Amino acid sequence: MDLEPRPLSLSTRIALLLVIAFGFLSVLYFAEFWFFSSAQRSRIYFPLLTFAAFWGVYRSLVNWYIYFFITTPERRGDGARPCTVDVLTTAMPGEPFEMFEATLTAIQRVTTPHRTFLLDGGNDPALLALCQRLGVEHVNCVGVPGAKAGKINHCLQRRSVAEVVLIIDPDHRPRPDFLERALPWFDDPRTGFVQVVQAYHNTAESFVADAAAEQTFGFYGPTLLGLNGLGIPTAIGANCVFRRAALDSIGGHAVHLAEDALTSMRLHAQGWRSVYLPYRGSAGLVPADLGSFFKQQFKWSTGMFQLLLREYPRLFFKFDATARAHYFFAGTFYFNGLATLLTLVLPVWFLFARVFAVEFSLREFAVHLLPYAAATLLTYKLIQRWYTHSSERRVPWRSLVLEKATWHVYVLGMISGLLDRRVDYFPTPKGSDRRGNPRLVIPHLVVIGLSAAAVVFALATYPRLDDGSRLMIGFAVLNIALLTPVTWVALFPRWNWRRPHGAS
Amino acid sequence: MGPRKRWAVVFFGVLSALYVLAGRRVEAGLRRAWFHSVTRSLVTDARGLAPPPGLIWLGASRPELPQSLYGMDALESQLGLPLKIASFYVAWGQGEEHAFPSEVVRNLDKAGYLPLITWEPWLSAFPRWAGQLPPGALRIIADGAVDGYVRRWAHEAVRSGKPLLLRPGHEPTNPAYGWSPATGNTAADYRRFWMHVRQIFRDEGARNVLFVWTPFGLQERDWFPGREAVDWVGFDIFNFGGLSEQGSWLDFYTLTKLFYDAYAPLGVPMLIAEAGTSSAGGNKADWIRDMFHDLAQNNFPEVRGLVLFDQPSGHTDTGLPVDWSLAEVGDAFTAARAEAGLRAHFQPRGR
Repeated sequence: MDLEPRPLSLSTRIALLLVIAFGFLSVLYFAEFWFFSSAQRSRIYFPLLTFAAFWGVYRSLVNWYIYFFITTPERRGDGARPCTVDVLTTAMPGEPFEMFEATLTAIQRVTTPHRTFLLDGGNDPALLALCQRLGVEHVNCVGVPGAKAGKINHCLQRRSVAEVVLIIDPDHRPRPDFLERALPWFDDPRTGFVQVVQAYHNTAESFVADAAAEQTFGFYGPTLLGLNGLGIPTAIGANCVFRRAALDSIGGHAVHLAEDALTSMRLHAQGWRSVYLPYRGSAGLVPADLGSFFKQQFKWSTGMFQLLLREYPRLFFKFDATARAHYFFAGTFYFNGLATLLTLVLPVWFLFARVFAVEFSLREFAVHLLPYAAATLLTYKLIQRWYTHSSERRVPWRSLVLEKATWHVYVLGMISGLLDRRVDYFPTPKGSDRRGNPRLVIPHLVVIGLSAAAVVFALATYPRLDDGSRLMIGFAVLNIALLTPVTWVALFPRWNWRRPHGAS
Repeated sequence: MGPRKRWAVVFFGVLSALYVLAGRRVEAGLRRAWFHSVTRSLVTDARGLAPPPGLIWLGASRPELPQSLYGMDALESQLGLPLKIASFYVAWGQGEEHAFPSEVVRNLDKAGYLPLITWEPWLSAFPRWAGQLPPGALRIIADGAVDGYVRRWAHEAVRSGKPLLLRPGHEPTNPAYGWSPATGNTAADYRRFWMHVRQIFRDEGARNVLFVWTPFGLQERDWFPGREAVDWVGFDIFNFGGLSEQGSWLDFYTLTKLFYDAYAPLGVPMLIAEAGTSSAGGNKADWIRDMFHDLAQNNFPEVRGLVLFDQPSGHTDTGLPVDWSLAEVGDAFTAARAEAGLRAHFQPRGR
C-alpha cells in the first residue's frame, strides 16, 4: 500500500523529539564511558577501535539531526507554473530492448503534455523504429563524450527547449500522473529541482535485490523528508525533475562518476532550493545479482570520494552551513568500508596477538552501550512511519548484512577515489548474472576463516578468558554470522534467486 | 538561520547542559534503583543454611587459595573425602587486594564451593593510617571511619548474591591481631564494631552473608555480640604438641571439647573454622584420623563443619615455625581413608 505523507501530528512530533533526545543523551553516556572511564587503553589500538566503534555513532548522530527536521513538503510561492516539459532517457548499447519498449510506452502515457527524447549512445535501428512507433524523439548520441550526463547536455544544447526537464533512467517506468504531481512545486521560483521516490519492481527477484532495495527505504522517506525540512534534498540520478534555468546556471548537468550528487551540489551552491516529493512516481530495477550490486556501489563510493576531495573544497565557500555539513556527511559516507574493515580485522588481530585496545569490564560496557542500542532500535521503529510503502516496514537485517558484506568494495572505492584513479562511468547493470561468483567473496572467505581460527585459537590456548577476550570472541562470531548470508548466496546462487527465471 | 535550526541548536544545547549537570546523578539514581529493586531481590537468603541433619561440611584453607583450586582437588583425592568449604583470608584496606573478591566468589560458586572469608580489620592498610596500627581500631570502625569501605564490600557481596560465610575480626583476644586488647580494644568495643558492620550488611540487603564469630580463648562470652547478630560460632583448634609452652600433645577431642562446652550454651550452630596439628611430639596422621573419627561418631553434634588448616608455614607465639599442612602425612593417611563409612558423614559438593 502506498503511504501518503501526512503533516506530523503533535504526538508524532513529541515521540520523534523524545527518541532523538534519548539517542543524543545515550551517545553522550556511551562516549563518556568510552573515553573517560578509568580503564587501561592502548595507544595504538584504542584509536583504531574508536574509529570503528564511533563510525556508526557518528552516522546515528547525523541521522538524528536530519530526522529532527522531518517535514512533509509544503507548497510555497506563486510564480508562474512552467508549461513545457521534456522527458529525457538514455540508452547504451547492450541494454535490453524490452526494457525500452516498456519504459518509453509508460513515458508516453504520462498525462501532462510533454516531449520525450531517447538519447541513444548506440544509434540502434531497432530503437529508432521503436521511437518512431511511439512518437518519441530519437537523438543520435554516438561519440558524445561524458556518458549519461554528456548525452543529456548534448540534448539540452541541440534539441530540448522546455522549461522543465525530467531525467529518468531507462529502467524506470513512470506513472501517468508523475508530472502532474511534480510540476506544482515549481510555482516557487527558487525551486531548482524536484526529486521523487525511486521504487523498484524487481525486489522479489532475489535476496540481493531485496536487500539492496531495503538499503534505500530509510533514505527515500525519513532522510529525504528531513533534508527537505533543511531545504536540501539531493538529486538521485533517476526521476529528478530539473528546472532548465537551474541546469543552465551551472553549465548543464554535471559530468562525473557521481553526476547526480555533483549536480545537486552545484545547484545548492548556486542558491537553488530543492523539494523532495514522497511519491512513488516510478518503479525501476535494483541490482539483483551481487556482481552488479558491487559494481554500482564501487561507482558510487569512488565518485563520492572524488567529490569530497576535488569538488567539495571548491564549493565550500559557496555553500551555506547546512549544505556544507550535509555534503561533508555525504562525501564521507563511504568511509564505512574502512570502519567495517577494522571491525572485521581487529578482533582477529587482538585474539591472535593477545593484545587489547582497552580493558573494560564486559558488564560496564554492556550497561553503557545498552541505551544507545535501544535508542537505535527505537529510531528504526519510529522512522518506519515515513517509509513510502507499508511493505517496507520490517526488520532491516538484509540491508545491514549486505552493507557489511560490501566493505571490500567500499574500501576499493575509497582507494580509487582518494587516489583519484580514473574510473569510467558505466550505467548500473540492468541484466542479471545468475552464475555463482566465488571471486566476489574471496575477502569474506578469508575473514570468516581467520575469525573462526582466532576464536578456536583463543578458546584452545588462553589459560583464562577475561572480559576483553570474551568481547572479542563475541565480535568475531558476530562478524562470521553477518558475513555468511551474502557469502553463501555468492557461492550458491540458487539461494539468491527467488523465482524461477526463463532461460537467459 | 531559520527558526527550526535555531530551535535545533537550543534543543541539543539544553540536552548537553542537562547531561553535564544531572547526568551523573541520574545514572547513580538508576543504578541504585536497579540495585534495590533487582539485584537485592536476586540475593540467595542464606539464613538457616546448614548441611542436612547428621552430615558435616568439610573444608580447607590452602596457600594457593583463592586464586587456584588445584590444591583443593589434590587434597580431596588425598583424603578421599569431599570438600565443600573453601577458606581464605582478606585484610581490610584500600586497594584491589582488599576489595570484595567478586570474581573469586563467582568461580568458587561455579565449582560448588561455599566460601569462608576471614575478614581481618587491619586499619594499618588504609592510607589514612599509613601502615601504622591505630590504638582502639574497633572504636574507630564502630564510629564509622571506614563505613565507605565496609558498605562497598557489603554492596559487592549483594551483587555476588551467593551464600558465603564471613568471619570479621576473628580471635579478638589474640594479641597478634590489631583488634585485640593488646592495642587498646575492649569487649564492648568489639560488640559495637560487630553490630555496626552487621548493620551495614543488613542495610545493603546482604542476606547471603552468614556471620561467623570466632573466640580465641574459652572465657570470652563478653565478646559475643548476641544470638541475633551471629549465625555461626567458629573455633580455631590447634595442637602445637611439643612446640607449645607446656610441650603437651593434645588431641582434637580434648581441645574441641573445651570450646564446645564453653560455647554450646550460646545455642548457635558451630563450625571448626581452623584445625591443624604440628608433628612435634606425636603422630600427625593419627591426630587427623582421630579428628575425623570424633566427628563421625557425632561426639560434637552441634558442629556442622570442619575446615582444615592445610598451610605449611605457621608459627608459635614464640616464633617457632610450625608446619600445619597435611602433605607431610602422606600415605599414612590412607588409614583414615580406608575407614569404612567415613565418607558418608560428609556432604558431597555439587550443586
